[in-house]
Amino acid sequence: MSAMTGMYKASPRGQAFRWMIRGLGLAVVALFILHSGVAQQAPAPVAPNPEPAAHLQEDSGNAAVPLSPQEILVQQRKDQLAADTALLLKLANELKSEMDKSTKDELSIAVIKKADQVEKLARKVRDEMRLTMGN
Amino acid sequence: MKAHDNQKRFEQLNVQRHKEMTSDTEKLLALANRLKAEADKASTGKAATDALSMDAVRQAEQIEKLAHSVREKMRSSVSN
Repeated sequence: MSAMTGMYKASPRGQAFRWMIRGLGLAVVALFILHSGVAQQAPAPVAPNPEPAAHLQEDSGNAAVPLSPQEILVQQRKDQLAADTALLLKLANELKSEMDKSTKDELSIAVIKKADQVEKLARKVRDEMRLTMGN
Repeated sequence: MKAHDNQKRFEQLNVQRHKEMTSDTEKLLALANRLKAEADKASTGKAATDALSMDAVRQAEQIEKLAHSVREKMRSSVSN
């Protein structure tokens, strides 16, 4: 093996080949570093705006079309309404629970408070529904 | 004797009021369930025309009235 290496070292052609291999390796490393540096510096492709994307709807041809501002408003109201009705249901459950705990001879402040909250939220929901229906 | 009758009547009224409050609360809870189902259905509908029905508005009104009734009935137990 050492004899072969010695022969290889001694050959000018072999030396040139080694230098060529080294140069090629360096070039590959330099290219790799350059490429990764450019990739880090280049700004990542930015999504135009997530907002409009969130308000896309599919038409009959399965292509996403943006919603109009009016439609976005209606959807936002519907979402708000869904959240409020969920809260209303939660309060109604709590009211029922407080009612079950109370007795006929007892004044339950908890029931009065819960009923008050339910009444106010139900009024808000009713007004929201009328607005949604108006659109 | 009259005081005893009054006491008895007062107790009967309290029992009646408590029954009504319990019944109102049950109705209220059932309506709240139906209303939430309708609101969820309308919210997940893609088209802007998937609006809520007039029935849903009436349900919300009914919930409001029942809650008001429960609150007032519970308050009236103090005045007695």
